[in-house]
Amino acid sequence: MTLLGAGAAYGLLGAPTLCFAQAGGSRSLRVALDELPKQLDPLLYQTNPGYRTMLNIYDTLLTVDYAGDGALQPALAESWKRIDAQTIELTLRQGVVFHDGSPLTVDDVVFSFSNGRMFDPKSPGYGVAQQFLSTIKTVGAVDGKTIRVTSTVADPALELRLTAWGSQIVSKKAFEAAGGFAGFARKPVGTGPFSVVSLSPDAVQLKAFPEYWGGKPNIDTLTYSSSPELSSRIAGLASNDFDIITDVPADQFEAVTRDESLEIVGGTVASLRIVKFDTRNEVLKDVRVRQALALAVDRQAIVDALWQGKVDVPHGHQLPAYGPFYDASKPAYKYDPDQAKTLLDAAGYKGQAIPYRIRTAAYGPELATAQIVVSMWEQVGVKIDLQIVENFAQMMAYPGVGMRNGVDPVLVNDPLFGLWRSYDRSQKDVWSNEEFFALGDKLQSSVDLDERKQAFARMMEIFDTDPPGIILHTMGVFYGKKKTINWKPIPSVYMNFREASVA
Amino acid sequence: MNPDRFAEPVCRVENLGIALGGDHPIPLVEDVSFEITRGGYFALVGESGSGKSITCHSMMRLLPFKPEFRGRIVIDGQDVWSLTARQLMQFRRKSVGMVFQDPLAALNPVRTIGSQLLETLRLYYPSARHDELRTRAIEALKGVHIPMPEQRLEIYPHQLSGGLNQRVMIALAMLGEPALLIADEPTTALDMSVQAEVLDLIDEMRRQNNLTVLLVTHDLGIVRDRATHIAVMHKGRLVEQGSTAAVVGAPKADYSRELFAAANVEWPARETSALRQKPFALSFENVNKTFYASSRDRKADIGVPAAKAMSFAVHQGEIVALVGESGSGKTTAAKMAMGLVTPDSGTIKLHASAGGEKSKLNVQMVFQHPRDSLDPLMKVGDQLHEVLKVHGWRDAEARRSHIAQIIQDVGLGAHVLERRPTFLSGGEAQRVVIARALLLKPDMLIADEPLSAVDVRIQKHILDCFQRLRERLGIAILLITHDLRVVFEIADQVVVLRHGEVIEDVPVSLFTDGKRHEYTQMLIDAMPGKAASEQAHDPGHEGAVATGGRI
Amino acid sequence: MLLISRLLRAVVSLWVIVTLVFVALRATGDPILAIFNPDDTTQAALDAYREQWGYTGTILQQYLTYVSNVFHGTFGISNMSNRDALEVVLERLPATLQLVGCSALVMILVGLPVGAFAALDNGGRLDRTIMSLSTVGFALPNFVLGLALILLLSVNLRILPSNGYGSIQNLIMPVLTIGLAKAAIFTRFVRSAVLDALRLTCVTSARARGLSEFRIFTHHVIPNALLPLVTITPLLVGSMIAAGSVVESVFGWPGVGRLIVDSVAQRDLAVLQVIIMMVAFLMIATNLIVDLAYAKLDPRTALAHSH
Repeated sequence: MTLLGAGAAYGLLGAPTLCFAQAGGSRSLRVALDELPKQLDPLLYQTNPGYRTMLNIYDTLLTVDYAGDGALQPALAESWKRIDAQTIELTLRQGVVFHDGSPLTVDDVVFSFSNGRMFDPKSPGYGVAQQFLSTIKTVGAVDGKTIRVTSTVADPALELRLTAWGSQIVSKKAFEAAGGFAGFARKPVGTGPFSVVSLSPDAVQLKAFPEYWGGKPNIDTLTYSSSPELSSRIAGLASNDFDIITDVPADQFEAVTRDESLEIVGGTVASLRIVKFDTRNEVLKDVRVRQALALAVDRQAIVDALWQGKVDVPHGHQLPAYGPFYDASKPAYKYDPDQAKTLLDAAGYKGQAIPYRIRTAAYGPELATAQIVVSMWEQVGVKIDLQIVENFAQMMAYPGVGMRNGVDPVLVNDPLFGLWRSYDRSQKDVWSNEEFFALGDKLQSSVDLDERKQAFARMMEIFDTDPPGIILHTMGVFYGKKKTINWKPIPSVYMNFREASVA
Repeated sequence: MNPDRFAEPVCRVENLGIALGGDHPIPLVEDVSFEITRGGYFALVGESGSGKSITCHSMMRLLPFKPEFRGRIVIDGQDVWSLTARQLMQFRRKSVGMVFQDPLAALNPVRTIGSQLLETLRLYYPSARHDELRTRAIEALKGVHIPMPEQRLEIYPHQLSGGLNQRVMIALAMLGEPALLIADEPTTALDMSVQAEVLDLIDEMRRQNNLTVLLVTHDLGIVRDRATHIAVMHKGRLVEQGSTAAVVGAPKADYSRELFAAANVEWPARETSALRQKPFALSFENVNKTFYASSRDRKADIGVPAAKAMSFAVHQGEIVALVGESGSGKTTAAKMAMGLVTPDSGTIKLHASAGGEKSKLNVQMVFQHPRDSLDPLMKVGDQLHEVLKVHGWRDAEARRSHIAQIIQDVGLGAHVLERRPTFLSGGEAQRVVIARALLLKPDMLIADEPLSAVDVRIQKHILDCFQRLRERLGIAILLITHDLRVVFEIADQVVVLRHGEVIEDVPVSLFTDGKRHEYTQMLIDAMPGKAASEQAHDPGHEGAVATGGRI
Repeated sequence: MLLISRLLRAVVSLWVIVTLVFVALRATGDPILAIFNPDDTTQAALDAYREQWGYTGTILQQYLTYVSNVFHGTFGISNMSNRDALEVVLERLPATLQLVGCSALVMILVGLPVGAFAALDNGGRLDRTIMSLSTVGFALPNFVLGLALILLLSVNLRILPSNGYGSIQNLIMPVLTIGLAKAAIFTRFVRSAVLDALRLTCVTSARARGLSEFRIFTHHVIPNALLPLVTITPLLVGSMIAAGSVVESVFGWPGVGRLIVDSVAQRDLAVLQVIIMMVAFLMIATNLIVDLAYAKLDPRTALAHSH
């Protein structure tokens, strides 16, 4: 329910002239989210509100340089060592304490990855753990400061998995004292820069943890408030009730920046907007039709119209954060309606309507995107049956499939968790390419970097020549903030306040 | 008559004119002048809409709208329309009392009788103690002959009968010992048997307190018996006024002549035995029906009997009057005859016609409130056509001539067909409803209080219409009524109901032979105007004595 | 006796409502796929959630399990917060009660006198002004009124916080938004109730007896005008819960209205069922209270006699 007029009405009443000073001497940061987390154990809550809060409460053994090239970095483990294709050993950082004052030990690490928390299908944490940690076989203590992690199969991404969602280290003592998941999720104890003061339906209150191993944060209190309505979030930012607000769409930038003390930050995040094909559809079975559909889309036009040009059109199914895997020389996607028509003629396309399903409640301007894409396809003579559905069950309903809107999220910066995760054999009814699958197996099991790079490069080629989908652009997340707040968002769904400060 | 009393008018109305204000004022009352002398009993007579209620409300400045007022009203020495708000309040407290048509509405339903008496008494005794006022309230109730007055103080108006409520209203009106009592249709909403009692009470008050009474009514029977003077209103003007004897004996205005003629009741001496030989149209045999408020009451058998071993018959071409007070079961009987209510036991039979071509007689019903059963937005003609269309009359021309004939039968002009019901008078609307019932050529008509919503003159027209229908078409009519005058006028056979029991079933000629059931006799005695036609009663006699009423 | 049969009827309607909601929410597609994006979540995880949250087996089996749980006093676990659904709802209840209670107060405190003044000035300038304002008031969506208040009082004048919960200052704008919107409607009901009461014969009759206008108003007009208002007031208060979902969004108020919207979107069926039961229970309880109040105010009703 975005009120287009909110900005206009705001302008009508005039920009604020008064400005109250920040209360007291305490450096506090107030962040408005559209939705608050309802529990604070990462294994229970893998959604945006969780990403935005829990990154500041917990640490993982390893982490990556989200803002840069995505390189692995030490965190709770100060160093790590690859033993073989299925084993790594990590040295636990010494002197780290939990929010409750107790020291971090190898027991806590072993407990965090225990069966009871992650790998028992009856555990409430099982679902989330399956996302990135499914290959982990054991996590055990070698001695008081060494941890050995093994995987069920050869796994080149084992280190990355230890940076991923779900691998946060929790306090064994606190978890057991809280009586398990439900209690712990209300009173979480981690090693992060902020500890939890309170969790209620209207606000999550955090305060700086002075003994944080990475150094005491620059702000004293961090408050996440619930403000589901975009227009109220903007008004709240303007009226100095918030310092940072989330999820400002491009068409509301103007409403924020009208006030000179405010600005828009953010941009591309590690997530791709895709139109996905279902090759069970008679028309889409023909690779030329799929290629034609891809050629008929002017991606930059969409980015300019709906995102004010502030998100990227990737060159292939890859992100710069892939580091060594990123191929900067890959050419941009072509927009060539004439060639699209030629390919359609060659495929013998006779104007059969292709179903195209989109979901009403989705990220970003889903409907507007679909309407633009449909009109582009109609330009080359393709007939589209646009279907607006409510949920994924309806989206996936077979028969009647054709194309659908989707997002390929890349929560861990490795093609394994991007391209391969989205197009592996689990969806082989929808699209299959034996060469792609074989390469994927290599990507997943080889520990040789070059071999993996070659496999990924070929997989990207297949993605473009026998397309399972059309990449439109990267997704974007934008924040409104006061210029006096020093905080730089990372190209990810996470919000990290370790470095943030108040001017 | 005492000439001193004439010398002192309690109330003088001079050239009264009341109009509904606005850019184009609508005159409601024009050029009305009359005087009421102390101790007089002045009756203002007219049909509804004649302006009589507006006249009497304007005498207390109680009109529900802001009028354009002309003329002068002087009551008890005060020029009513030039009083200040404070003076007006004192005037209402001390000079005039008013009694309304519906006592249940005129008393506040959510407050006890006692609280309403006490709050009024407080006006006269501002510093009296509460128990003192209570004693006075009890005295006041005793004064209007309410039994067990102490207990009555604690109860609510709906827990009392209409008659007792009207007594409470009279007691309230008399608390300030006013010079003038205005009674606006004080008996219209009451059952027949208590009407006389209330009127007698007003007479008694008048005698005891040397009270002057202004009675507003449409009921000429009351007037003839009790009033000293009569003024007749028609279309907002006084068409005639004078002493009762003069006006009743020799009405001068055309309108009043017609009015009095219509109200005249003649003892019927019709020969009706021939009709009783005709075949049955409708018969009730031993019909029982009891209504229960809840299933628990049903189990405990605590119900309201609407029919107890009810038996009577209507013969073809006969007019049978079903008479009774409210709650006697007469409407339930009509509904059972129509099949709208199922009897608990007994037989209700609609007989086959004489020729035997139909297995059942065609019965139609006419309801009490004609406007409720007509579509207000549709022209009368269209509504009648629709009824015929539904019953398969395809030929528009045939429909038109049939409707024209029926409209003529009920005594209406063809112009009503072009009107919407909102623009019809009460009498016209009722006759349209009758016409609609007649469209399908019924053998029998059941009419539930068809006359209660219309005035005397129109009653006469409708009764004539029934009479003609019976003579021309041979229709049998079951007429449900509480008004004995209607019975005398038209019925062949009279069935009297009380608490669901038939207590009388006689030809109309025997109805007044004096050998009837005690209850029937009471109904006859209570009938206003009865005395006037039975004996050469002198209505001009000052301080008219109570007739048949009882307390 | 009347009370018991009424309660029985209430329980039956409650059960029917819960059953309908139970079936409707499951008939509109696999709840697991409504919650999770299958592009994001592995099949094994989806199956584990389905098992854990009791969405396996036929709807009838799920329903029987649910009913037996309810009879044992457990209303299920909220998917969204992994806690007892009842606890999740009860946690939101104080915020909603505060909002609805204060809004009802505003509605009555504004609506009663304003409506009565309008009626007393029937057709006059004051009446016409009040009625025009009332039309504006109920034609204005809560959403717009709420934002206008924020822009005026928070952004421009900076006297009230735009969002949040906990302090009196936080309460003012949401309460004004709902309270004034409902007062606009309530004013009309009050006006017509007072007008109807003014036209009663018993009021004319009281005037004819020479009672003062003030006394007539307080002792004859008001008691009669209250009767229809007692019936309509709980309906308006009930509709505040619905209005709450929008207003709670605008002001970031953590009430039940917002929880309903979230729970539907997230298919948090256990929570939804608890809310629906609670709202139905509240409505039934209010109706009972209204009946009792009515009996107190109007001696003519059946309940008044059963005492």
